[in-house]
Amino acid sequence: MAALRERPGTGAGGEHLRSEIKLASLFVFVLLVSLSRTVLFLETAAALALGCLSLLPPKAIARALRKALAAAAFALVILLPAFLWGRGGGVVLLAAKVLLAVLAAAVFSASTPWTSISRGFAGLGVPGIFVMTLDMAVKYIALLGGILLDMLSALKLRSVGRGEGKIDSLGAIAGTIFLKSREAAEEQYGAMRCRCFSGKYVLAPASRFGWADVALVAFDLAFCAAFAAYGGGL
Amino acid sequence: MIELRGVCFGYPEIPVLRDLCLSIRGGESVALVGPNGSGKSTLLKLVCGLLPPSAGSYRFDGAEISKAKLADETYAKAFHRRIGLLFQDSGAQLFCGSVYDEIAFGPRQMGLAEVEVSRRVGDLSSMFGLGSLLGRVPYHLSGGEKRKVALASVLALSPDALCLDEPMGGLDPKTKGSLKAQIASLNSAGITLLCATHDFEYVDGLFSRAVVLSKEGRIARDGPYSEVMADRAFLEEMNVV
Repeated sequence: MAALRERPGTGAGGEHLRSEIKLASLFVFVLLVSLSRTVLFLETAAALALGCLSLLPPKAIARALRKALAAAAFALVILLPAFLWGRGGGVVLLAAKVLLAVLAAAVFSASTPWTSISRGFAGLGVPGIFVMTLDMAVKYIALLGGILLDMLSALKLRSVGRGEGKIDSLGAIAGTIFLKSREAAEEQYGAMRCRCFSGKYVLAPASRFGWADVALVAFDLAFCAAFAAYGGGL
Repeated sequence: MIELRGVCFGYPEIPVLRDLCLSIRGGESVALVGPNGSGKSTLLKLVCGLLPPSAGSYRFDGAEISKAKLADETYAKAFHRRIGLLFQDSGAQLFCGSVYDEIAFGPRQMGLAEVEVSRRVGDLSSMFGLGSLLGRVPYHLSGGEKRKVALASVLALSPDALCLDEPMGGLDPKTKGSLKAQIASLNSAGITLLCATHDFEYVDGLFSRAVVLSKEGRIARDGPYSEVMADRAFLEEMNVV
């Protein structure tokens, strides 16, 4: 929840890139890694992902690696029956794909503040109202989550020992959260109307296309070319 | 500028405001005083066009404000640009991903050029000392900072009138002092103020007039601020002090 509340930039090199290009690059990377059938292409993708990972600060690197390794381990556990049936090669390849896809997403998430991610969606042509809904959803998950934790703490402080009353109170808490969310939504809509909102969410214009963006697009094209050359084709 | 004639408002089965007649001239600073549940916040929302009166009429700058008129997008935008509302809970008012975007929201909705938006954000952030917070997420700011961001975001539209709902509520004394000075400067600049408050200690000298609402949602007294506040027995009877 803390991660949802505030997603500051990490000071990594990728922060000055246009977020829509980063988002498109991530999509291309995950798609091609998923479609690939050769170890060589996955090695190329791994080199690229590790290169990007190295631009992050040490703590962010550790966090990204933890997420990726956990996802790969989970994939291996799920695919364990296939391994026992003698399809070991495919299992390892699939786990490697999961590792790379999650690693790429973690690098993107660590180097892009939430505001830039939502702006990236807008830059890719996603309607403003969808971006607004996404922004609000993230804010309210954090806001209502905070209220929920406060209420649970209050319940804990006022109830000592075991008792069925505690379970009954959970329903009341859920109901209160629902009422609070409705109230907050009405307040917020009023605040937006007061500031001239009329149903159209106007976002900040995108930053200018820089050399770093050109370099990233070039990398994407090279990655696509590598996939066409030895990635295993469609 | 603001004129209410026989205005009534109520939520289902709960009447809140009854037969209100109130006239506020441009540039005036009016304190709205009353016990909890007397309808101060409701009145402010009604004046800002968020709630329609169930009876009576509301005119802003001579033009009747009605639900039908506010349904027209162009009219609503023009009206909301001229009158701003600072909510009691500033947290509910802030929804953007950064303080910069929060202040810029209104001007962008108005379709102003980004250069002008940036100029307004710059002016307001230096006025409220928010320069170092522009990249921060509003949700994570302190109560005083949130209040300042909310006020700056309302002022970004350059309104002619401002409704403030308990602007000093929950703030520490120092922040209250600086906010009071900023509100006073807004009124000196010609902005009409209508402010619901309980913090009489900190708003002293800000208002020229006080309107006291009774528990039943009626205007119990309307007069010069110093005169109304001097009548201690009346204020105690009204459960205001």
